[in-house]
Amino acid sequence: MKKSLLSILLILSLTACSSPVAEDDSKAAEPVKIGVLVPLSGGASAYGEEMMMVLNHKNQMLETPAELYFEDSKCEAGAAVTAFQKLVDINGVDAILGGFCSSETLAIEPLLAQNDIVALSATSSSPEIEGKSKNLLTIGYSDVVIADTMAADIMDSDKIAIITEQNDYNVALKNSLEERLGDKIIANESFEKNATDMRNIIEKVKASNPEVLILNPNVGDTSINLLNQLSESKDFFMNVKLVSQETYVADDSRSQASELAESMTLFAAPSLDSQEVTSFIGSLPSTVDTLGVFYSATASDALENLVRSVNDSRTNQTSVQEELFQNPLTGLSSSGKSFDGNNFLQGIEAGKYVVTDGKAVLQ
Amino acid sequence: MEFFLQIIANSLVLGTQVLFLALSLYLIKAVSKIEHVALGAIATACGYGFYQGLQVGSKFSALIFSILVAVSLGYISFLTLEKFYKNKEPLLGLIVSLSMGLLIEAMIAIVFKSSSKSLIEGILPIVEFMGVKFTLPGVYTLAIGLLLALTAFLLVNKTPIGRTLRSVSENSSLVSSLGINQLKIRKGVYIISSLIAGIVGVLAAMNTSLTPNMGFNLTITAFIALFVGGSSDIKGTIVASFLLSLIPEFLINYAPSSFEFTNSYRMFFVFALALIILSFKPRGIFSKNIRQS
Repeated sequence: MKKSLLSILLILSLTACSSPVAEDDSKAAEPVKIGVLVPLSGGASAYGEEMMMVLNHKNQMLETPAELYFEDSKCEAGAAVTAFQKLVDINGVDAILGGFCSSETLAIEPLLAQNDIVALSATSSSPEIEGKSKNLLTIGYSDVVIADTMAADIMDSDKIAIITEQNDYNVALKNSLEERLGDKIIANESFEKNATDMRNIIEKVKASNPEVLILNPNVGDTSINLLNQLSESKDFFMNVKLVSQETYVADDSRSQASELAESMTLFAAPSLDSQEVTSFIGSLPSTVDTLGVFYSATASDALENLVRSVNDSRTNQTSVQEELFQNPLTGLSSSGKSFDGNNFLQGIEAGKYVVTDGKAVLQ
Repeated sequence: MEFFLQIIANSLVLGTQVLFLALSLYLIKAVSKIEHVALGAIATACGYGFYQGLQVGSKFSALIFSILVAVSLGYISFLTLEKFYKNKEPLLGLIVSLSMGLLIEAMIAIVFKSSSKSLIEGILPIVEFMGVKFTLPGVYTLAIGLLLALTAFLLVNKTPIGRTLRSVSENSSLVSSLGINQLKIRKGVYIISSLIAGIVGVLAAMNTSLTPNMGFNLTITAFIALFVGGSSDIKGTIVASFLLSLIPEFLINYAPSSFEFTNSYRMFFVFALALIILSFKPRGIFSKNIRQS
């Protein structure tokens, strides 16, 4: 009796000691599962499809490729939350790459701590991300950087108008510009997300007779509609300095209104022209005309650093965010940079582009 | 002044788009007492029919495609809603029509995806009149809309056709005893209304772009215009369609900037106007107060 009791105790103690190790071993052997939130339908779907292509390509280049689970976040907060829950509850992913649009990223933020999971966005840039939970990180630049550079460029003018689409990314940029430009803004118009008719807003802007017009729509069809409808009053707007952000960097977004868009000034992601970046972009199975070089690089970096951090966290018995915070990042655009306790990766500067012969040319 | 006239011009185009749908709703309500709110989705479907026709062929094939869509959906509407008229269940008919509209929109989003489509690529041709600019599709919308409004007004108020239409729903047994094939009339009205909705679907898409839910706001405004104008008063429906488009635009564009009214307030003003008008004139803007015993 005494012998069997001792045996049971021995077995129990062995089980208690050995289980976590065995579990960790099996976990370490498992491939890393990354859930990716990208818009695969809606106005920003072209960006999502290119990002999916970049990530699949990068994944094959990794030493131990991860299992990627793509979900359509539609560039909408509600869709992003649904997609996030599926990735976490059903697919059991280790980390999230995304959201793509700031509205998606901000929408999933409250769920990250609850589910003890990290989200690393490659593209979201709303300043509202800064100061949120440390489970949410982004390796794109903050719009504060864009607002600072844009405001400095147009500060000489006293008659500035802004047209903004109502969503998290654009409203955050508009707020940052308002803080910097103050009374110089003489017309401040906005339209609903995905609106199709902006003609009355354009008339109001015309009535204010601005010297500079900041176009602040989100990516996709709305931005094309806005530029086309501005072109209906081409005679007027040809004499106004047009300024915008990332939305109009892709040449396709301006091609239908090329005459008006010529000489437009754009403040967006910095240009990356290192050999490593050129080689990576050249190795992609198709072009990234819409997503652009910078965001293709940040997407690649986000995947690389997430997979490395998940693997390291398994080995070092730490959390994924500790790994991301403690080590400088690697990759094409993020190499050597770190978060320094912030939600945004530090040390990224905005690029200034001017549309010349239909192309956005870095100045 | 130029700004004022341009806002009127843009709002008139929007009002005429609402008018198309309000007239379609009016005609169907006149013969079946049902508010067929799926007409907005039918308009959208016709726009997509036109788009699909352009993809596979010429403008002519696009026209044929969109007409086929309008006629088919008009006939399906008749088959679906007829029993609710016969059973005297207009509220149930409204709910079924709403479901039908949402189903059509969902099907469009599945087939064509939710990103917008352009019927005319690039910058629209502009027509300038007394310093006011109209897009060419906007001019077509105004011209066809005003012609349609005049025709509908005269037909309903000045010809026996109007009396026949109303009598079909008011006293169907009497109409039958007079040898009028009321079933045929209702079927015809459903198809004609879908065609009218189809015209605005194509024109509105040409003026801006096609999205699966583009008909929704137009239908809501047209539905309210039907009641604000008085659901049996075609003159009221026509006037209400323009009022509900012009007044919100003026409030948005002329209110002091401290109010910060944006385009998002448009539907708020539409509902507020409906609330105020219907509180004082529950039978429509041109109704007369009748002393009830």
